[in-house]
Amino acid sequence: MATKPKSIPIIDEAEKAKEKFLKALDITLLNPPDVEVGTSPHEVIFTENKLRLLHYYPQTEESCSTPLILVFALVNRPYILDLMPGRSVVEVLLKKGIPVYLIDWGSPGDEDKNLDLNHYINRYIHKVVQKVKRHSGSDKVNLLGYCMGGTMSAIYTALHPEEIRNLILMTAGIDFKVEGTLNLWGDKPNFNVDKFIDAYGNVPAEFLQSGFLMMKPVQNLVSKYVNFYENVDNEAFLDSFLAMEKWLNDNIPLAGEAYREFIKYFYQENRLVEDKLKINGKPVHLKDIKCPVLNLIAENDHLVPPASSIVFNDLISSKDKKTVVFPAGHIGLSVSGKSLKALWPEAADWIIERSN
Amino acid sequence: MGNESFDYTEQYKKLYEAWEKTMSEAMDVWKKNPLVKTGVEEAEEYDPVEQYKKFYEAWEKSSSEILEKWVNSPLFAANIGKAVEKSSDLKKHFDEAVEKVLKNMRFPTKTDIDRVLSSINNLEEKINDLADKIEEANTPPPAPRAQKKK
Repeated sequence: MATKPKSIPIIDEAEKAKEKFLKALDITLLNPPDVEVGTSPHEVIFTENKLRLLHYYPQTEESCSTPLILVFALVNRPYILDLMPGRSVVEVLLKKGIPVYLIDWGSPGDEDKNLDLNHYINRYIHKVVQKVKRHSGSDKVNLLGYCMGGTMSAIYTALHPEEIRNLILMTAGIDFKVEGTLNLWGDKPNFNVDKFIDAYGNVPAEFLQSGFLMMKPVQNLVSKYVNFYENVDNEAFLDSFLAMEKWLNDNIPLAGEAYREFIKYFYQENRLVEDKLKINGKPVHLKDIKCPVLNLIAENDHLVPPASSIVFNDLISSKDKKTVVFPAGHIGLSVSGKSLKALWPEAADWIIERSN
Repeated sequence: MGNESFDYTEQYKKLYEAWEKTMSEAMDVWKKNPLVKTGVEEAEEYDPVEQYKKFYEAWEKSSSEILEKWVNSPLFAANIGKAVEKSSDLKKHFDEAVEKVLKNMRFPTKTDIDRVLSSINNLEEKINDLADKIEEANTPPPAPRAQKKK
């Protein structure tokens, strides 16, 4: 006698799946909710061209007399550092009593295509440092650079060591000849950056976005949305997911000349590590960095491989230097619950100890 | 990372092995389907939703491996670089043609507008510098902040 298989409530499952799918569709396409990001109270204390300098209002009595300037990459928006309440590096730092300022580079227009690294470093960062010193009444500042902002912060510190009390790097690309997807794509035989920038002026936001998506195609184009569908009834998950999606899709172009130089000087010629970099004709020697340095590295970083950042502390002259390799990804280092609970309070203490 | 050190045959073999692994994992899941095996025990344990999830996980893991290997290969990097180069050539020719047409028609072009905007930005920088100098001249340097106890 043939045995019938156990009855399976497949129809119920299908019905549930349909409801979940419709909800997911509604949230993503039909009625996407307005997600508020970058909500920590702040004021804009300086603007120039598209740049805005944000000063965050203290949330507790300041425990640190040296202000901290956050220097984000020229790619994407800086509010990833203040994504939403409970998922914000800025919030952790403010609660520890650190005065926080942030550079929002803005979205460059076609007229900004000639802005080069010299302009970003020696004009914008330098101007911001002067503004923050004046605003806070401090004689020096602390600089925290994230990703490309970390590379630029290291260069600024090497060129203007007298301005910086402590340097903090977060997933900063330093050695570009280590194994990595972007290092391979940006390498000289594969990428003619001159032709690209001569034709496009600025780097289109879509170009950067599609490159990031292509690095992990299944994870970025399939798994992420399957995970979203699985958790569509979980309110806490949804809030974080939607805020992250907003940031990931809020792409901006990158000034062409700065990009051309970044690709040539770093990805193709590795000038920083080889001690051959000049900005506005002035040599940049990493060994001129003597201030205390905290080098934060994401162990699972697929954009800036850990090996690219880890070399930094060996190239500088600082005696007080620390490297932390944290189990997170490139973005997770700033938004994961794990980083915000375990890494950032410790980083804040490190800053405070060296700032008074 | 040069192309010289890249063994295309070896890379193709690796891709094939990864594909084969995906397929065999998917087939393992499929074999548990009661339509294929009609034994009582297997049939009673069969949960199509759970099996589908397992199948998806196997597919996701193997596909990620294959595609990430592919995008990290010098062959992919060289080809994507060529595609970008060709699209750059095309865009440059198109933009130059449009610019010429507009110029002949005495219309201001995007380049003209960008030049004006860039001049405004330069002026803004000069004004900011002057404002700073005036501020510095009019205010004494700020006294250093009192050291705060931790």
